[in-house]
Amino acid sequence: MRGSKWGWLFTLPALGVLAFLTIFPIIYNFYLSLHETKISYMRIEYLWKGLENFNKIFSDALFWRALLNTLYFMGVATAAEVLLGLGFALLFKAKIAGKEKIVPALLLPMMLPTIVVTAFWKTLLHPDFGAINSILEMIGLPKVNWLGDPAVAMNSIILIDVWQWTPFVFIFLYASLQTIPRELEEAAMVDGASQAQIIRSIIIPLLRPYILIVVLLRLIDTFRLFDKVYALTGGGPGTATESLTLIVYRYAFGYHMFGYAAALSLLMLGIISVIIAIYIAYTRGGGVL
Amino acid sequence: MKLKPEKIVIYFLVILTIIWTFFPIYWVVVTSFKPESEVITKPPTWIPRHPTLENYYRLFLEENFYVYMVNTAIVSLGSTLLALLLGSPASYAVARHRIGKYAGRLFLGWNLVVRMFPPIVLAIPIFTVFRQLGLINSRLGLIIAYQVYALPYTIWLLHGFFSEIPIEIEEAAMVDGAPPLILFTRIALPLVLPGIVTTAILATIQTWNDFLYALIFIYSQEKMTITVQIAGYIQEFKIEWGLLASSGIVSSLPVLALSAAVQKYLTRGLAAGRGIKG
Repeated sequence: MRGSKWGWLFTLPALGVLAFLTIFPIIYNFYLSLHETKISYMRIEYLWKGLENFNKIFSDALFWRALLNTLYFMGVATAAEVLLGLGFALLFKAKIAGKEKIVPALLLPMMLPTIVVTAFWKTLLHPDFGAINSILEMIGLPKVNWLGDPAVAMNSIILIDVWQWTPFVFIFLYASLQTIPRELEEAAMVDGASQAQIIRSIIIPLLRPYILIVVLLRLIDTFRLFDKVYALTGGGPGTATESLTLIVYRYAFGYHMFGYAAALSLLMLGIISVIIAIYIAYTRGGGVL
Repeated sequence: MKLKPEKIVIYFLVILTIIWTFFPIYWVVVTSFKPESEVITKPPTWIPRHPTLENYYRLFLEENFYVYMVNTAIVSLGSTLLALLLGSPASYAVARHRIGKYAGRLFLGWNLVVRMFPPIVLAIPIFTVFRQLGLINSRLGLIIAYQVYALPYTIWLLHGFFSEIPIEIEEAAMVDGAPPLILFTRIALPLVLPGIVTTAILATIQTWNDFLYALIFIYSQEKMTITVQIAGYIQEFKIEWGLLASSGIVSSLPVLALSAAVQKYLTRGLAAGRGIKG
């Protein structure tokens, strides 16, 4: 079907704003990345630098550190959230009294602003007066320096993310479970299959496409890691919790190195585009393509 | 009634799940009602021994927290309003295939992809341009910047709602010679009103929760949003237990009220927020 004049008229305002806020900035990022910026009041000077900004990335130890940290965070947090969320979904498949009240309540953590979640965990993880260490002490375990020990800090950030986003994986897979026809399970039960066998040979294989989608969604989201590390650790101790968004933020808005930050952000865009492409191909553009 | 061992295991796990989810929230709520002296006692009190509202008084009377709540409400409602204004005619036209099949798919596809970009990537060029336009440290500037995510989200959700209403009603009106603008405002919009309300609420929650753009685009104290203010409390060297707890709770209440209102659409909205049609 061909378009019509009024169709375009209706779409044009949104199209214009989107072009200005999404397409133009990506092009402008390329321009920025080839320059060094000198900022003075209300004006910016651009000095041509060629590919220098991109060359600098390879010898930037902070970048490599932040890249490894981010990949570690993405991998471990996503794995933990998906395993735990799948566990919750399978658990709540059972007949449980008050289920229709409990399930929505369990979504609470993901509704909270990330910064509020971070504030909550700041009080929980405090080495002396935090709830977690108090409990550890009470049952006779050694206290942990959750945010001050470079070997632990990133795992603490992961713990917070797992608390916040496991509910998302849970509700996503819980909803997906409803698409599995009950007859399949009933037939298996008639044949004498155990609950464990049913889960392993029927439910998990049928759930696999949904698991893949939720893994991709969590990878795309964890790649952005910023709020928690910015407020809680500032990337420290040392460089233990530096993330890509955090260093790009600091290069741009802390040191006003917009050219270099633009080069780094294009690299980020390149990395995440791989996952986005897999996602789009796999879901056929969320069902529209 | 006798419980089977299998049932006991299931209920034990359900209780563990509930503790894992609610213990942190319980702890913070309790902390918010404790005087400073009680927060730093050992072992901690699990129920406040001297319950007090002093943390909330301090939050509102000394910290002027309501200012940040008003600021956040202005930018998130403003952003939602703008997104609806721009997004609803566009998603209607696309849902009715009025810009052609391929252009429509490309348009929707782009809206999906943009939402998956890391926010910092677009923030840098937008910031440098806004700086020249004088849109930094302005609520209007922040509202416009929020369209990066609010607009695609709104378009994506509304497209789903518009696609669900049967075209026959409009076709009948079209036969009577009603122009497109009338079809849209008099017939389609009223039919998707519940969808628009749902979309508005979901979009407002997302903006309310934002931190990065508020941090980048606003720098003066009197225009600051709650998340930036709370980040300040988190970063303070001497921990303000009472403020951390009470500010977190106070700023979550509006979001929780809003999400309770759209509970049955929550999965759909959140999935769309991360790129899926529910």
